[in-house]
Amino acid sequence: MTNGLREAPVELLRALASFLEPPSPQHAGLARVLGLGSPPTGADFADTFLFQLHPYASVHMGADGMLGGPVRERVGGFWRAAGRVPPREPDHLGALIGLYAGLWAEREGLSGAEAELVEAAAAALLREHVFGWAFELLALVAEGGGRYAGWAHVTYEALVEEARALGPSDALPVHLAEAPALPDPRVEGGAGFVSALLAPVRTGTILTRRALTRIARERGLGLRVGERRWVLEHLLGQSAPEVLGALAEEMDRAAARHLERASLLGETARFGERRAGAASELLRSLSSEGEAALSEIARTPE
Amino acid sequence: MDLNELNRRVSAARSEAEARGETFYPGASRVHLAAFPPKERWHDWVELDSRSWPQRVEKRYTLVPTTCFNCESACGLLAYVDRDTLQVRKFEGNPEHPGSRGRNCAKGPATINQITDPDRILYPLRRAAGRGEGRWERVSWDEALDDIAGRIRKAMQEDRHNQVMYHVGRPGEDGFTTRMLAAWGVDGHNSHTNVCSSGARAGYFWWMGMDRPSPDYANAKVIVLVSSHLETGHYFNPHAQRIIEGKKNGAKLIVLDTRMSNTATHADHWLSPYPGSEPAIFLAVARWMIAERRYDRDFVHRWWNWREYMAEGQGRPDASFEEFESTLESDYADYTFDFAAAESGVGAEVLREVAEAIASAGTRLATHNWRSAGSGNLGGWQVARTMLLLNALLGAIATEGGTFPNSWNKFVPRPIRLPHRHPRKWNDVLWPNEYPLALMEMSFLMPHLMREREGPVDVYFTRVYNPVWTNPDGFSWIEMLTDESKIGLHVAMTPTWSETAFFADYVLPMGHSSERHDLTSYEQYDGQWIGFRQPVLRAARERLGETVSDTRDVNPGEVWEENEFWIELTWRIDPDGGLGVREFFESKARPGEKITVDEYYGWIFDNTVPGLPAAAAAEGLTPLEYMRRYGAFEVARKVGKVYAQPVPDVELEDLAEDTAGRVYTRAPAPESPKAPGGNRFDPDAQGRRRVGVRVDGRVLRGFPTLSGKLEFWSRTLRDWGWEELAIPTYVRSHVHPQHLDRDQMPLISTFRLPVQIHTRSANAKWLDEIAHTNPLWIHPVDARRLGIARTGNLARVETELGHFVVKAWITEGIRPGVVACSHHMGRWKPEGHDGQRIGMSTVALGRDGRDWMLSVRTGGGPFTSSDPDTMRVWWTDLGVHQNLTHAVHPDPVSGMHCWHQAVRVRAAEAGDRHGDVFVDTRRSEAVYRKWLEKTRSAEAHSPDGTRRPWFMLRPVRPEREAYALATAPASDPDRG
Repeated sequence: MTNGLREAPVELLRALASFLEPPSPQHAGLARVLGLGSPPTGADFADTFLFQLHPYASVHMGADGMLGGPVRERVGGFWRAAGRVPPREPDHLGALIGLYAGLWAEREGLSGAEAELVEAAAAALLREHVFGWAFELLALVAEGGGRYAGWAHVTYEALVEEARALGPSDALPVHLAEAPALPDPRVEGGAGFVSALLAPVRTGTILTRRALTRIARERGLGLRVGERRWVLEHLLGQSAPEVLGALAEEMDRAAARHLERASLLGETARFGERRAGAASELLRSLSSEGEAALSEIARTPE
Repeated sequence: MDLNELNRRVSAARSEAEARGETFYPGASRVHLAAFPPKERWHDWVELDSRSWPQRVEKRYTLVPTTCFNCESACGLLAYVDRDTLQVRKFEGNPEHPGSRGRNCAKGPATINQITDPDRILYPLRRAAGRGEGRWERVSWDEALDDIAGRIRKAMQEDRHNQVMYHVGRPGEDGFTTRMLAAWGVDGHNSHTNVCSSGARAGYFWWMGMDRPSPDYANAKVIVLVSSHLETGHYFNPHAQRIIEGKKNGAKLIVLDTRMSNTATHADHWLSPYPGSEPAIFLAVARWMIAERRYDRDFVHRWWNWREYMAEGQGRPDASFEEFESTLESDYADYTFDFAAAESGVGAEVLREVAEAIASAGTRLATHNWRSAGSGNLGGWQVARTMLLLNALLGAIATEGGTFPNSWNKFVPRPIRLPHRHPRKWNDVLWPNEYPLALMEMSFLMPHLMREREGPVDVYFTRVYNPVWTNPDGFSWIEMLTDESKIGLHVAMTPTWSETAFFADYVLPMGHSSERHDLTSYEQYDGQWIGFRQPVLRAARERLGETVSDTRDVNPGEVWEENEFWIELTWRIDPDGGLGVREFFESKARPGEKITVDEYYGWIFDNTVPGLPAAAAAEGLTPLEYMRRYGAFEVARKVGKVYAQPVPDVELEDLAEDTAGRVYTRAPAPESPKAPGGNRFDPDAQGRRRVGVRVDGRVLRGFPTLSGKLEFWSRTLRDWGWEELAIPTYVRSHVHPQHLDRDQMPLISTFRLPVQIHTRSANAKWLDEIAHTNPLWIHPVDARRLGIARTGNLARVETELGHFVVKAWITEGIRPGVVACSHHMGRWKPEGHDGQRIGMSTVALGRDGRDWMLSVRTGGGPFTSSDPDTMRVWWTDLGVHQNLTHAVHPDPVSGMHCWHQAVRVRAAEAGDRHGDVFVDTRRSEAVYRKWLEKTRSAEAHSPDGTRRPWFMLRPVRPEREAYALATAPASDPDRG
């Protein structure tokens, strides 16, 4: 603490954020300092952040579950409001944690109202643009094992520490407040349903390639090679009730994780829990429909 | 898990790494702004050697800053000098450079190609057969210097100073050469500006008395470009990055470009006007703003010379401002959106929308024209003049987000031993009386003017300039250069072979950006900076304790730098000081000895760059050491509205004020650290100097115009015979539809290829791989009409002089009815000559009287050399040299060559081959005479018996007496 105010672990946050960059020789030294064991390789990076879990706010909080769009615009606006030129990818988790650390570094030389203003900006950054998705992403990175697991664990704890200092919030981030829920294909038609399943903000759940692979293997279904929507469409085409049931189980697990964070994050975590719960309920309901009706969902062109 | 402990450990690791002189988290990163090596560690920088991959081999470098020499942006470079081999391994950006801020375009890093080019010229060469026959012998620098100096000395002794001429492309330096020519007393400075930017410059000059714009893009609300500044253009990289900043901050981008350029693709409003109609568009916008009262009345009232216009232009000396506003409205009443739409082919509703956007910018309107339409059309200077009218209406001049004049965003420091002399005689080959208001020298008319004048140019330097290739009508240049009765001695100073060097007597190898000293400053934002170009291997060796006093000791072969060359040459011209020339190149510290480059720049940095000595002292360095270490220095930031600055009381003494509000003082001008230049204004009748202009009761600096205000109306244009052009107006281009036959269409040739830079970059293999040809852009509708079936088919393009054969590129990215072909590419060397192999085709040059033919024998392709990459050259098409077929089109006011061509395009004939060129130079002479008829000469129109208005800028200003129109016939052997 300085001047009676809290001090964020700027160096640690920056070091952790740098692991979201492609591995470089310098990561070996950092991994040693942080006790993370073997540093990740390029293959680890590609698998974790390019194939499984994309570390962008727009992917996790955008209605389409894709890069860019209004979420990235809004995050870029935050950079500008904070007096900075937004980088090319302003909503990248590394950039956001880096910005958070930068704000705290800026605060070091300030006092009084100026310091409070910077602290408020830092708090808004986490609550609005990070907490709504980063915990779930980090939890899944840790769950996936491998060389990023240790890093994900420390980063998760570092963010927990920051969240604890801020206390839970009753307000929802704007991204979440504006995000549509998972549509019921029986009401709104099948178009876009599969894509919506893959948009984390609609289901409260990140459906990774790893999860889809597991679903296929556990149920003896054929796994097509391709993008996730392509994979999922073909899984549904083989056995929609079974796959929907499996997806509902994924969402149940996600809901439980969100619930665990409710006392820490408040409404943001409860939102995730509600979304995952509602999605699970919808999928179970759908899975009880006849096979023919469900396969129609999978075949509806998007 | 103890996060505080982890944080402490990371901090400790950082401290340890930094103590070892290493960088923590090097490399580009979203997390740390460590995109550049920290300057504290430039002397000893460690990187992994990419060529040793996958082994991790550390390489140690010393990083030496210099300045790019490819285009005129003068971006900062960092040369990575291998500490083991003392060779330059690569170039990256210099983060300490205020203009480029560490960023570069492709041309900067490609400097490594140029300095390692296996075909570059390494030794002085003298022709060993007839001029242009391609046989050379190596000579020593001493032999070359003695021969050249001897001829110049003789010319000076015989009072033939004007038979010495220095012809420069983009100078890439400020002050050294003009100082030298002034010291020589030679009115022989010949720039390329009238084939480049004079059109736009004139438009700015007639408003502000300063001839270039400096838009504050980053802070603009609306940006209007008649240019391709996101891909090319002056000053492309520094400007492009600030345009993008402006866009990120919400600025709207409006681009006028007939082609869908890369810049146009980033625009919020892309207008594709018929070539030359741009002023009609701007006047329509202005008319609407005036009619709707969407302009800053207070600014116009205070800063336009409207009273002068009403008094002298309208004959109403007592008119009120409101009456002026009515006149203004009626002056432009005809320029409706419908009129502009009819002229430009852009819809009236679109124009209205654009007008609304522009008017909404207020004082944050950044506008820019450099070449483009300004250099393409008869009356092209009205593009910038009408464009700046919009700024002037909104008061967006020198405001945050507005457009500044260049002089306030540029700093050229005063040099040591400023010559007090001026050329005594006027050079009418460069400044002919037919073009008294030309912004710069009528360089591209030289072959025609030399045909008419008797007597030679005895010593003709082409300095990194290639008029045979760059200028229109290149065959006329060859005719002149091969006529020894016209050109006595041609000295080509060039790092690499050029089409012009083939016709030289001496080819002298000059350094690239990392092999020479220069000082630069360019207007790139609202600030002032200087950049220092230096021979990086010399600086590196000096860091390691060696003493290097001659750059030839560190440059490849016997490549020299110009500064040392000129100092040596000057001493040989005037070895005993008897000509009064040598004194300007003598040391101040060691009287009687030659000045060194260190002393020349050291004196400037010590004495005339405000703030630099203090910044250097803060780091324990001398100013010269500081500049050698960091390569650049920002002299000022946020210069703001110089015109509105009050003149300090100390300068106000025994004032007099004329009826126009111009204020004159007895107080001497305070000593300025800047080099003298710009416009000159006569004192009042009692000898007081002009100090400012009275506005609202206060004496303010004003503008360097005759009136001291922004000149909506130009007295000079009126007095010199151009009354109808005295206010911003629209001149129908020579390629306007009413001037074309039915089967003709305009050819746009003024655009660059994004990674190339005119004649200078052909020896950069990386750039050539990206861009190596220049197809003809043609719309599918036109292609179908003309029987050109598909992209890649050959087309024959007929101009006034002949024709060229080019591959077609059928694209909807060009306006129907217009074709375009970049002037880049089409480089060539004659059969039997040495020359560049990577960027030049080998051609057969045929001549039958004044009929000329050029046909490509071999294009690109792989070849063996000391660089293994040359065996990997996969491209063969090196484009076509279209400029050979262009006749000269001098604008009668600005002097700018109007590049657009009226052409007939058709499918190629049997036997036509890509790259073929045919020209009849008799026709070029006829076109020259036709355009000469448009002029209004000084003899016929000068209001005061002079050749040119005294106040107007000249790079090397002759004595006042030389301005008087000669009574002697033009056949004076000295052409003086």
